[in-house]
Amino acid sequence: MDEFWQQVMTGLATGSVYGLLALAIVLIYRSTSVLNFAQGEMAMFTTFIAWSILQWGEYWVMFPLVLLIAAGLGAFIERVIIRPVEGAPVLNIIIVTLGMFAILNNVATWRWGGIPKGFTAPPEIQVTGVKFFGEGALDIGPTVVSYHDLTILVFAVAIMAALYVFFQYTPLGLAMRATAQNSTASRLMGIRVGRMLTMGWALSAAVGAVAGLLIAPLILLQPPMMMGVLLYAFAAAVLGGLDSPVGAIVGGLIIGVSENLVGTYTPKEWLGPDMKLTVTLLIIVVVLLIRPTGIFGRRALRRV
Amino acid sequence: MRRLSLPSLPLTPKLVAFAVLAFFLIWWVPFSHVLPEGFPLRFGTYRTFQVSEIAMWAIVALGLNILTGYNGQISLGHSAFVAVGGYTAAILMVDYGWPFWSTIILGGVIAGSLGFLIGVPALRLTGPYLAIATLGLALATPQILKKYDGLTHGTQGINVRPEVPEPPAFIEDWFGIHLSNDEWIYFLALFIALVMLILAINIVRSRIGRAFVAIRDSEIAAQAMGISVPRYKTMAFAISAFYAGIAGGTYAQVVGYVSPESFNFLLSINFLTTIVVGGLASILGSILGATGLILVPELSDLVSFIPGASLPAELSWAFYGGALILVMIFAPYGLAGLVHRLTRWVSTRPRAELRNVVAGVGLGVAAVVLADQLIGGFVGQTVGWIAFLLIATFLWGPALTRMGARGYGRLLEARRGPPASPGQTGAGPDDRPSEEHPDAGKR
Amino acid sequence: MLQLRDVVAAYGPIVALHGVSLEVPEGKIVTVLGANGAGKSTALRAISGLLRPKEGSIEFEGQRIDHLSPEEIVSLGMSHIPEGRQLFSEMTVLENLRLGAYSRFTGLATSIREYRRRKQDFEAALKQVFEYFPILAERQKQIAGTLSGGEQQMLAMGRGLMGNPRLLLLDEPSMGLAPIVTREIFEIIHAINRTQGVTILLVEQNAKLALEIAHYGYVLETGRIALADTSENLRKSEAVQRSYLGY
Repeated sequence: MDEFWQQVMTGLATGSVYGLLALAIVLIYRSTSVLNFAQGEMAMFTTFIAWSILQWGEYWVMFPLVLLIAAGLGAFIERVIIRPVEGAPVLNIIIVTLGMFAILNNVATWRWGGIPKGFTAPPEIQVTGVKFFGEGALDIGPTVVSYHDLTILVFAVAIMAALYVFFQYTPLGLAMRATAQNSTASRLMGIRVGRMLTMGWALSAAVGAVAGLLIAPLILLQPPMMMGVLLYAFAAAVLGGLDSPVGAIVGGLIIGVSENLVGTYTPKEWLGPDMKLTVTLLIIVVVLLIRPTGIFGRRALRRV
Repeated sequence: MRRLSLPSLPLTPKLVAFAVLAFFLIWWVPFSHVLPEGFPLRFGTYRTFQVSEIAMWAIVALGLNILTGYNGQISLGHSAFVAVGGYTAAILMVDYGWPFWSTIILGGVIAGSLGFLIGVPALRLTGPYLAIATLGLALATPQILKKYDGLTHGTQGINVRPEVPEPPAFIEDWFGIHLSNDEWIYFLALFIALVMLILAINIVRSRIGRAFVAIRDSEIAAQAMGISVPRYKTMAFAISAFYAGIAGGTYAQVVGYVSPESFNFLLSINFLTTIVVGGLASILGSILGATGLILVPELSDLVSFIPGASLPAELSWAFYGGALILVMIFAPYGLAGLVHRLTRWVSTRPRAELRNVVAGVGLGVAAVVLADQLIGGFVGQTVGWIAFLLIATFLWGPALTRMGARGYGRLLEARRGPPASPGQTGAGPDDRPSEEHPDAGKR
Repeated sequence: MLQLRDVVAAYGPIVALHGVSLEVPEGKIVTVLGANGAGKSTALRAISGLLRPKEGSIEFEGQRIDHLSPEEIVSLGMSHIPEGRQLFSEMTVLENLRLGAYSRFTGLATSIREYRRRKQDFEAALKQVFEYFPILAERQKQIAGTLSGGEQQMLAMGRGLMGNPRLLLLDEPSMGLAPIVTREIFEIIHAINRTQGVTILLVEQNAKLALEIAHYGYVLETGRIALADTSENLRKSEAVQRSYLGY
């Protein structure tokens, strides 16, 4: 039984990373109907930049700096690369994101390729005697949870909460939600739709950057590192519903946990860990057949 | 002796182009390697192989375009269908000794059936959800292929080569030509691609094709017109999967080796890129896209023509990405769209102007290439480009200036606004009765 | 207050307005009538900046606005309530109204006093809207998409009023509404003009009701002004009676 909870806990941790990247994907999809295939590479790129900064700076100095740089990267991409194709059919824009995927991946390999690098986990900080982050593990009930896994979970939840407050209770968040729903009406309200889109991409890139920073300590830092995560993130976003930020995180957690459980508890001969990706995807397809727009997704009403 | 009167063939541009293409495909591509090396545009055996690849992927592109371009269903899972075709063919040939042509056909049929099976649940899903679900299919395929190695030979793959027949005896018997293995493979791929092309043209122009498009444009309206949406949507899936399977079977012949990693999800993404860049809902687009897929990585060599520029080989992938982005910005309807724009533009231009354009391009390119070859290096390239500019100015100058002047005039007008007409100031309903309103009475 | 001069507007190659000139005097209600496809909505979209006119000029309070973006035009004191309402149907009534006042919120408040003043302005505007449309006060927290047709039109108009516009562009407010509800809405439109002096440009297919509350009217046919007169004269005109009033 301990094994079970162990798998669940680590599943929740990796699931949170999938969920965060899925959240980044959903943020862009909601406002533009575009699936950003470059999301993972953007996160990988910013994580490498973080690694470079860490060569001369402290972790907690690097962290906000990387978020800013990521936001800048996202804004730049929207303004310079996506803007020219804004009105085009969605498939065209997706191809553009694929082009960016290639560029980011290649440039990263060229600049930082070669030996995979280690990346540090957030170092420990003490707040009123309670230890956050850092090395070691904590005993929770029947399982032992590493601090880093806890960190990831906490970050995911905190980001979700912060975004919720932002979107529900601030004028800017309201404007961004409005832009996502109806850009024509938004323009008539005086909302600068272009600026909202740029900010959406910036925000999304920052969230993705956090995902990259959190997962890097677990897997080695190398250019292909986010490719697998991206696929899981798409699956999570779709599972939760592409227009639901909550769905993205929940989808990620479900995938993280089921991936581990399938790997551990199915007979090795004809399933087992070799097939965990396949089984996970099968689960998603089954869910989609029952709810074609994801668990929390909304049915799009169509006027005839 | 009586003089034979032959029907006179109209030497239209279309006929000429067709003849050139036929000559190119039937003789030049497979056989020009007999020409001495260094002969311009000589096709070595590797180039011949590349054209075989283009033919193969064009088959997949045609099928996928039917599903996505004409029917509007996005599939990122077609690498799975290619895998089914390829593995069926390989297994049947290597393990059971079937003749190659039957394995290709069976590969297509089995893939098509699988496509139909997938098409049924796909009815429930739309847009990005369908795309990601099919992506899941593509992701799962390598894993499944590796796992059930009793059938698939697992990670090591299946080596078909030893079983690839020499060109079948009937070629020599009927045509009296002896083909090498590579030449035979080329003709096989070309033949299959041609057959599938004719089939695709017929499907697209038929009632089925029109039903596909109707469904893509509005499912509800199509339904209201009596088109059975589920029937045609699953049919589209089946047909496109069949195409992919045929291509897979051909792959087993052309490449001679199948392995789980040959058919991963990146292949699927490449297929989608191919049809979007080539041109959605366009037969020509599918072919152009497949050509681009194989040839664009070669284009990075073209950069060497820009004086002083060189592209580090490691960045060719980034170059490819940049090219994708540029194509999407400047050719939203794909390469086929560009071709249409070009032919439309050409048809509206006077003969003299066209002559100038062609001469300019021809002479200009010749100048650049010659300068590069004869003088070489940085100096040579610069000289070449200067010559190009001179030729361009001389030949295109007048036309360009005319276009520029027109455009500039239009720009000025937009800024200034039209000249104010008398009697408009202070006009309003409260000033005059209806009869005197400037626009009144005009219908 | 608003002047259009020889405005030509097109959607790509399709010309919708062939040189339209009209004028909206301050404090009046002007209506533009016409059949479907006559170009009425196009005219409003050209005015509010959603569509850039190819030729001609549009002036608002003496300032050329035909090259401005909708966001800029809104901040000048004009509000466009579009055809089909275009509500944020997944948001609540209150959120929609808040968004209506967005143009007055933008930019960080420079001081606490500024912030408080804005809050007061917002509350005042909200109060005014709730006076015109009490039902909206009742359904504040309701999701906009679940309101009835008439309530949605009220919300659209309330949202348009939140920015305290001096000119209101109304595009077919009667569309899809039951006659009783339409009448109610038209009374409120009249009241807005009477009590607050808001200038109104009303595009409508329901000529009868429109001419009842308007001071002046234009009739648009296939992109050209066919008639222009006081609403009184238009009502009496035989041409209008035959084509648009059904007599």
